[in-house]
Amino acid sequence: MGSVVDVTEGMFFPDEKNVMVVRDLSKYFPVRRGLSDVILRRPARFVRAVDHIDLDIPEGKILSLVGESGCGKTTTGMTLIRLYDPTSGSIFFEPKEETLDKLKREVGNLDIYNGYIDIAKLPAKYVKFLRTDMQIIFQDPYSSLNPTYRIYDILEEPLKVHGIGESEDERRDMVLKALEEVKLVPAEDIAARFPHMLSGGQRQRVAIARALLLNPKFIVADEPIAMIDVSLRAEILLSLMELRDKHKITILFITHDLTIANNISDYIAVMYLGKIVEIGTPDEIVNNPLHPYTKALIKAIPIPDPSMRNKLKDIWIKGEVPSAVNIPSGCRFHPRCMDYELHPEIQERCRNEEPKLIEVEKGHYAACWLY
Amino acid sequence: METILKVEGLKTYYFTSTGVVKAVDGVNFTMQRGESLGIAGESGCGKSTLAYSLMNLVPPPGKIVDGSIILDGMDIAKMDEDSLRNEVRWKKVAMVFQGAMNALTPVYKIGKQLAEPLVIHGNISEDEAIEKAKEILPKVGLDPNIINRYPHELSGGMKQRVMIAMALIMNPDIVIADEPTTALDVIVQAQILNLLKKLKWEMGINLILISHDLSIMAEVVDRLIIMYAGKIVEIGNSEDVFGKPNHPYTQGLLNSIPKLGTHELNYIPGLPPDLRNPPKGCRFADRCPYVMDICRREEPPMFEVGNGHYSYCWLNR
Repeated sequence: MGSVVDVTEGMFFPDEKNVMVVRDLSKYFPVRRGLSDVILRRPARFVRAVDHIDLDIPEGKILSLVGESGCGKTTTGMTLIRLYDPTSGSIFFEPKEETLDKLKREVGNLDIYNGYIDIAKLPAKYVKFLRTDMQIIFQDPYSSLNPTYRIYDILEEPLKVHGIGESEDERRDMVLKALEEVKLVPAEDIAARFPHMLSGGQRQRVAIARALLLNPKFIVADEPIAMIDVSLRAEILLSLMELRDKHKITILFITHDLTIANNISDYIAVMYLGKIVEIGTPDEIVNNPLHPYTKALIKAIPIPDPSMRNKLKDIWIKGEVPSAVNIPSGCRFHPRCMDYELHPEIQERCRNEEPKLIEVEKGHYAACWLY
Repeated sequence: METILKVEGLKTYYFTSTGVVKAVDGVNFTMQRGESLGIAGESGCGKSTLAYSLMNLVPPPGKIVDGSIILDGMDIAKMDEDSLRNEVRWKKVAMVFQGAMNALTPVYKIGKQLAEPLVIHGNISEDEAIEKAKEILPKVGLDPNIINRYPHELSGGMKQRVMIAMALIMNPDIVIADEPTTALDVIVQAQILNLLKKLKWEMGINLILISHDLSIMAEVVDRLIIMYAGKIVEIGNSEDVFGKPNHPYTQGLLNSIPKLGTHELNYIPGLPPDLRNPPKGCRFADRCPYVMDICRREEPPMFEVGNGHYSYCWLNR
């Protein structure tokens, strides 16, 4: 099989091999219709949480997806690992060899493109075979661990479900090793505890160990430090960086905090209202932001310098985030854009045409009519 | 300078079935008129309990067990519930609660909710109170017409502004803001911090800001209290605490703030002690990189390390 045009070729990071190539991906959620909507035959409406995005995810790197709440970053992460079914588009993913073999056996007509498969088209009943390749760490470690299970059982469960480990002893070794890997020692002692006996940071490390146990290639980390104290956050972040450096695991790190993204990632993608508006390296994004929205995010970051309290912060944005049901025409950021005011010559375009992500500087992409 | 608030030897404990949690364990500080004061520390350090104690509003099984909170010649720690309600809460001390998005009731319009403290504490009719509510809304950057809206029609930032307006409506001496930006996005957070600064400059409110995030503190407060495990470990002007942090815990906290462009990540190893059974001596000793013998034996006294800058650390001996 395989196709003539290489659909899996990346478009953003020419020096990287991509573990995942996302093309034109959308995820819409239907808005519940009231009785009057049905009677008046109003058309169905959708929350366009992810709206035709393109993204490459380079292997063995941390890519941060940054944006405010409601921008679709979590939906993107969940869709990429098929926790949501995509509305349209493709997600080309290169599975582990044994996973690919298993899928070949199980799925009747599997299209394979250079070792990649389009997991967006994979029927739901086969998605479970992807779980050994892709895992997620959820935001809230207080609700992501079953309170009635001991840590050992929480960690053993995925092994049992996927038939990994010949015997109880072998699984026990794997669980304890995973706990040590995330520095939860003594592992024997931690394994015997219940989640409520651990701190938030420890719980989050259990969640990391659980994601790690199936030896995945790709992990989505959905704001894993949002609920953790500032003084302990770095510990979690360093564990994630170690997964990348030691196990060559690819991580999609979802966060609203550009400072943290800047500190840990290899690449950053900024998302606004269902669209990716800027992609680049952390230094490029922070020192030379191109998109007006990225500029607004950077200017809003609080600075730990007490002289700041004598002046007001410059807010480089106006208004509030519009609803993802009624997305503004043209560039969806134009009603809030400060650069829009400053550049009357492009205003008509901003109002009517949707800008595409283009390479403005080498390796630095933005979707804005300024460029 | 005029001292408007004086807290001495304050102890607030929670009497739980598994033991007595000493959430605030002997806290002393004063607040001057016109200054904004920050109380910072990790979750569970007692900063929110301290804030609730200042209104004598600690939820059961918590209770103020010792100490005094002197405001305007009254000792809030020893007042009964009726006089607290009639004389202190909202009128003297008002609070912007944590998680303001959920602090508004969903079934009443904004105007009615804003007017409620005035009707209950100010003895005026609801119509008059709603008129007053309309006057205060522009001060927090909101359109007066939102009095006719329900909370679900407002964004998170707008709800937080309503909560701030509610705290201001009785013209209190002190406004306590407990993690006012925690649930908000970074841009909305910057807008709310700007609002707090403006209110301080224009209305002269005396603000107590509670947060775990020192970078937010730096944007607002004049003087900073650092709490650890129920005790104050350092107190001083913002310039001093940020510029010359004395206590190893403060240094650790400041180091843990991720900075743009440094690619350097630091954290404080270990966990805070169990407040049911705090260690004797310095409570930070187990996590402290400079721990000495005396730290585990004796509780450190207050050392003056600069002008108005105090630290509870044996390193200053």
